Amino acid sequence: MSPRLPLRVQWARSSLPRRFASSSATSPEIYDVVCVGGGPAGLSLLTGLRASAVTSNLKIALIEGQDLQKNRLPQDAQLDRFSNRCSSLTPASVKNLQEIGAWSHANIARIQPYQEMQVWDGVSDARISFDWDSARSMLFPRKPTQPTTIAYMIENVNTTTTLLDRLTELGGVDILSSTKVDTIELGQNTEELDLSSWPILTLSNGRTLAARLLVGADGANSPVRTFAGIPSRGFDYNRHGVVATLRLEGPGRGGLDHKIAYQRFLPTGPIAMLPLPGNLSSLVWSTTPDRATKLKSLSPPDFSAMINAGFRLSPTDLDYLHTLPSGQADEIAWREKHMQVNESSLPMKVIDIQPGTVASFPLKMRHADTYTGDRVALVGDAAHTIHPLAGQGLNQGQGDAAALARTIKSAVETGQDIGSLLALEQYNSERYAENNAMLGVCDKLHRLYSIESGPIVGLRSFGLRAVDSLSPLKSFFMGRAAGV
Amino acid sequence: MAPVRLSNSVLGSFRAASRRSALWRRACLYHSYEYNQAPPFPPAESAILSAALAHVPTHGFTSGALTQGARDAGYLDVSTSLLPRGVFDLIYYHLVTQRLALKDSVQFLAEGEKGKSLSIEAKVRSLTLARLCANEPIIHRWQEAIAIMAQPTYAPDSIAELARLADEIWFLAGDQSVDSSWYTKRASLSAIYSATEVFMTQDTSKGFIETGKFLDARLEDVMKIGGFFGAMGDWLDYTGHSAVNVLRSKGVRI
Amino acid sequence: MNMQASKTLFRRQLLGGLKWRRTAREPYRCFSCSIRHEQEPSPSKFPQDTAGTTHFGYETVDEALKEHKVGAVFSSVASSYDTMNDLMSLGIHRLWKDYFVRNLNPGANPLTSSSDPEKGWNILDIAGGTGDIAFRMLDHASTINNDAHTKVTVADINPDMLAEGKKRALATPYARSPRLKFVEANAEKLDMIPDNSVDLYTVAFGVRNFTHKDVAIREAFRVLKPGGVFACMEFSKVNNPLFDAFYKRWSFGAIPLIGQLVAGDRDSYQYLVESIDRFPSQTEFRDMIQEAGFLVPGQGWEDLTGGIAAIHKGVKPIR
Repeated sequence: MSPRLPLRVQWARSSLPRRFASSSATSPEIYDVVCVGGGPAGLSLLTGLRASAVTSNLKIALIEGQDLQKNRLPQDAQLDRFSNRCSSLTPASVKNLQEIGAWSHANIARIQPYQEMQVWDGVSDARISFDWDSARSMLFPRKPTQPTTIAYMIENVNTTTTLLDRLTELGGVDILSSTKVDTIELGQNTEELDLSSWPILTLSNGRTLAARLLVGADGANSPVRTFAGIPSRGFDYNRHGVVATLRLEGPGRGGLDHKIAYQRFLPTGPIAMLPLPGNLSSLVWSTTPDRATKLKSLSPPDFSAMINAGFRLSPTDLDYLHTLPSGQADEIAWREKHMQVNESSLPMKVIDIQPGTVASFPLKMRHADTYTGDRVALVGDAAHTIHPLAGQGLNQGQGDAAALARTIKSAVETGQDIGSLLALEQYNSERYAENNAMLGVCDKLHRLYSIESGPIVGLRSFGLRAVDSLSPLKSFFMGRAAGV
Repeated sequence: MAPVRLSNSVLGSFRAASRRSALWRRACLYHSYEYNQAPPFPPAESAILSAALAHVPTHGFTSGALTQGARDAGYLDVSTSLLPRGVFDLIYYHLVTQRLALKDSVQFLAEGEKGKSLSIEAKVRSLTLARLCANEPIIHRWQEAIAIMAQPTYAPDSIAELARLADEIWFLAGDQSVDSSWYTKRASLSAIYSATEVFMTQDTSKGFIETGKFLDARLEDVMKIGGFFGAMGDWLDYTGHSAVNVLRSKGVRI
Repeated sequence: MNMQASKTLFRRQLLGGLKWRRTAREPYRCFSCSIRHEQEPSPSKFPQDTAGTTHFGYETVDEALKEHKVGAVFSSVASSYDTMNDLMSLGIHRLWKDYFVRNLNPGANPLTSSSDPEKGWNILDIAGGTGDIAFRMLDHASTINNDAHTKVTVADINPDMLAEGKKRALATPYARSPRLKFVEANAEKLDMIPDNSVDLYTVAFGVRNFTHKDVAIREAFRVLKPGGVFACMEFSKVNNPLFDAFYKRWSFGAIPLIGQLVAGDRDSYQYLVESIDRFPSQTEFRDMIQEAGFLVPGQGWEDLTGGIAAIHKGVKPIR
């Protein structure tokens, strides 16, 4: 859709030196896709667009407020230090990354696939264990070629570096790093161009961009979503997620080839330990804000002891331990002397915390009313924020990016305006219900496991044990979670 | 702006008539910032009933206590006819005077003075405990009183007085709500207070510590339930909206 | 028989002597005549329009005459008074009187009281000639409150009613005891009763017959001790308008007829019914009691059976 130019202006233009989309004070630079936000979702979308031949001629810009180069994972990053922001990539997300050619750029040594997941109820000790071997029934034994991995633990910085490497390799994207968006407004209807339905971005470096399609990949408090007037609904869980990188006493109960992820549902929130390469692990402990502050303030030995206690002791004991100002290590050591636990079903003990990795962030659930607006699309956290208990947040963003790339591709193939609501409808329809379901499931799990006593505890334990023993049902859930 | 209270301006003007009001028992209203309240009971009844209350520990809530009180106040035995509802008037007098005394018997530090001021919930707890302790001298007779209050003729007045007590406690604790939580707060406090009062009649612990614990447990239950209903409301709101949004994403025009 | 004849004669003389009845009403031919009469506009409530007149039923008479006329009425009904009451109120009047006495709770219980055990209550019962209230008071004091010292003075303006009362007292244990006394007195002038001497002053179904109710109430105020109680039970206005319609129909239609049949005396019972209708309402009477200086409990009265009767109480202040 090219703007209609009156004849005499066109004639005048021929005698003037040609200008190639250079910025001027009056007319903004026109881009086909402007992606605000250089996180995994935004980068994945742009990589997908550049990797496909159909969309490779689109004029794309990426705007990121931080310095993308500085935040890269260094080539020589040591394997004994890991970032505390890790995510669990499902096989489906990995497949997407492979399809766009990014997976080969990943720092494989820093990725840890795990093959088993142990989940149990902190109040009643009802347990379910996910692994593909046990999920298949006797009638349909697992084929050797079928994957055994449940998911891949990867640092967020590794993901972004991977995508950025691939994007740089593909080229063709104007990457505006360390640039912030000052304002987003609708354009004007002048004699030359009618940009009254186009979002015009004014950047901190003075440039103005006009976007045929503005993609918001700019996180939970997305300015693009605000510009589009799309409300976002949800609740604050009144919980904080405490993260840390842990050093365990060994490589895990199954050894280096069979890593196990552990999650225990306490009434205040789940505590999860996800395996990293070697003896390292990543901790995500959702707990109340007071307790989170308390945990962050503990010394490393006390904090290590608390994490071990979080997987072993009863909620009552943990309540008491949280009231102590310090010295939890001794208290827990004394208790463990008098306790009998089946260590084989529990994670290995934490012996140390990597310094500087203890942090917390508030947990909330948000879902935008729709993912698309006039010339606006939302991907990733801008569209939805989820409880980390199922490790689905990043994967949802990857799925969104892949779906939006497909939508733009089909719009280009059919000659539509990629920013029109008609073209974007496919994306909304594909992703909204699915994300809504996943958000709902995680929300209900959180609420279900927040209850400490009463009949619900018995029911949920019964349900958990029932799913554990019904392998077809279990393999269904595992398949859904894996995205296959 | 004065907090919202049960309206009493209509009855106030009625009471301003020079002649004694026909329904003196309805005059037992509560504090207002706008004007001074007349004493809740006429002087003669007040004299007899206050003297009779002194005899309740020995005689219980009976007409014997009333006649003793009448004599102490300088009246005759027959003057107890001045109390149309008999023994219930004695119980009612106790309820009203103790309720009105709460304002003076419990003082909280004003905002900004040194030390951390209590939260509204803590103030509600203190006021409720103070009111329960006011029953202490006659607690061994209080089961009789509850039985009399529960009679069908007197039950509406008893319940109204309980509601006024709950309102008084919330008011003195500083509640400023103007939405439907005004009603739910008072309803829940009425239930908690009456349950605790009954518990106290059989509490033999020293200093009524068990009663205090019982009260704390009930208050906590209400917080949990309140939190539960609030969260339930939020969740229903969210679920409704998300259902509509899912349908819209699939193309349904709503 | 002789008594009956003399009564009839006396009444005829009374009626014959004054023409006011003939001019105002047709002679009785059927019981529905009284209903028609009732439906005529009744005269004003407080008929002090001409000086020195008061109401006698629906008629306006000289004040001086009312007493005489009332006396005549009651003399004629004295012996069959209880039967009449039973028929008129279907026996409920006994319940009313029981309730009245029980509510006042006469007698000082020696178990709960620490005062001088030799002292009981001094009760004055006005217009209680046949002794209904008095006997109930004494029984209640003796049996329920175990008080053997409470005494009742029965005062009535009508000697026939007193005679009837004395006759009935013979059947009770109080006949010759100092606890029961019969006195002929006018409620408006109780000279024989000293000031501040009575604990409880009761008048049951008598106030409507007083010529000057306010004077009687002031007299009650005088004789009562400080703290003493004035208790009055009287027919009053029915609350519910629907019930009131039935009640009026019953009282103006059936009662004079029953009087005719049972006692042979329609006119007296016509007077009774009319005087009930002319009596002030609950609030008006309560105001009269307050004007005399009494303190009233609660709203000042208690309705019985939907307002057919009402108990008014007042307490004399101690200062």
